[in-house]
Amino acid sequence: MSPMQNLFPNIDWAEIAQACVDTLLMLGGSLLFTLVLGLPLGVWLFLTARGQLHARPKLYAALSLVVNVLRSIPFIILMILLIPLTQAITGVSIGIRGAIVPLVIGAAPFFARLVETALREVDRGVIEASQAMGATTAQIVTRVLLPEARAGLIASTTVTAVALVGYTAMGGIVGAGGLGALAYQYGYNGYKPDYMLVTVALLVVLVQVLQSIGDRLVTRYSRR
Amino acid sequence: MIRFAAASKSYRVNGSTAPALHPVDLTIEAGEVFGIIGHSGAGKSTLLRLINLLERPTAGRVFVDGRDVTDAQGAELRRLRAGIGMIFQHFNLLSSRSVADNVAFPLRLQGGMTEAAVAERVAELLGLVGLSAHADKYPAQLSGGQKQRVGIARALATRPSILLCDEATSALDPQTTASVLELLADINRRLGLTIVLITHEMDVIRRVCDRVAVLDAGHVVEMGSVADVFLHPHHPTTRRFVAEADHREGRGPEFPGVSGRLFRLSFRGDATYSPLLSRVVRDTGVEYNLLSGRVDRIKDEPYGQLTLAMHGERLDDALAQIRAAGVDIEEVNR
Repeated sequence: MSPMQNLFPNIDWAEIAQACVDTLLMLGGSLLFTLVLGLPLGVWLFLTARGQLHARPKLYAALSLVVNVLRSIPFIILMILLIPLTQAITGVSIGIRGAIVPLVIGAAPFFARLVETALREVDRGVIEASQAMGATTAQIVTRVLLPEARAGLIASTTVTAVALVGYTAMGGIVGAGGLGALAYQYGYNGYKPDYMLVTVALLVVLVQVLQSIGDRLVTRYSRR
Repeated sequence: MIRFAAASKSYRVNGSTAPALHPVDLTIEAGEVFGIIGHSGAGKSTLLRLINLLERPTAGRVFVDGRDVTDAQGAELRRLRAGIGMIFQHFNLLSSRSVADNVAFPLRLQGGMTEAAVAERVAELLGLVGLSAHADKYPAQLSGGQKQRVGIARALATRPSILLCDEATSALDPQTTASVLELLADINRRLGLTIVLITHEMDVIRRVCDRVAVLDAGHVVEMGSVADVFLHPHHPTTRRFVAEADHREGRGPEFPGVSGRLFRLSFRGDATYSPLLSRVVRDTGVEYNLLSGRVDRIKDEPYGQLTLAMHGERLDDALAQIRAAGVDIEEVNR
């Protein structure tokens, strides 16, 4: 027996590799759609808030309520609640594709709030200067707000990606596959502690990698 | 050029209306440097922002270039704003863009220019403000004075006919303030730009402005040529600003222990440098005691203001001679 087999007697490394691929696919897919939905939602929240460019206090309150409700439902409950929607969109209720729908709906409102907060950090004077130069609201969003908030938006993306890693692991419990599923199936139900150890270690590595990529990008794009 | 017709502004605060600016009637002529001075909260920032409609008047009208712009919206509003440059106390540059891209920003917003034409215009503007060597730097790498120069270059990019300056030198040290004011005066002369600036420093007004309006609690309390307002302030607020500029805050005009009557003599233009006093003293035999004085310039015009205690038998004769030479005399009560 090789030393690896001594240390981790139960582990099927091919299965671990497949689980890693599944986790990365779920993470990548859900992060992509979270950004695509969450960024405009965050911009919308920012613009409609009191005292902002397109202040619509009632609309803001409604959007805010939806975001808060989605954020306050525990992810594991959200997954179950969303099974009909998931089936309608993807045709399946489990697996990688099936997991992406609840992952996005769980993470997009969270990301939108972070986007709103990042945009609020943009100096009001810069926005006023752009208005004084005759910029339209669309120009202010795309050429002033988003570029000026770039470092904050990257940091928000990192936080969201890390949160999604946790969500994907939970998704594993209801059959989404990936590292979380392995940890639960073999590590917990099958009582194979080496599986638990390896999957958790891989999740830790994944989070570390995401965080350091994010931190590097933030440093690179900080011009203050 | 710019005309306010009973323009006023009030804000709704907790259901009641708080006036920020009482109805203002004011005309700013093309090509002049017009200063608005007031303490913070006096309404000067609101008044300035009525010109490019960053603030809308609650009542009254605003005219720019003879056109009523009060209700301008959409494309018309953006066209108006493109014709009015603005610089700010805190510069308000885009921190994520280089100096060159900040200056190019208003040109790209408007569109219709090739990148080559934009680059050419940016180079020209950076030359004008003396920052050609810093084109590729980011705002965070510049000093305050350099940032304001970038702000000025950006404000001039679209060849506006009006430049609004919102406390443009208040965040700068005295030396940098002087060089930025010099640049503004130079731009006013060379480009014939109308400049409207707001400040809380009389010194800024004295150095670059042609005319000044004094704002106090939302009212224009005094207005006129800078020399008139500076040498003969009437309203208590104006007097305080002038006193601050003379560095004699808090000290009253009384001079205990000095005999004779007190007079304030204001010289302007060529009279400032002529040996008038010594001639009058020789002719009339009056004696004088110099209590305080200042000889300086208002924009390009020299002026002097002296406070004297005078006595002698032929005092009235002496005063008449001084007046005849074009010097303004006020008796200081004590």
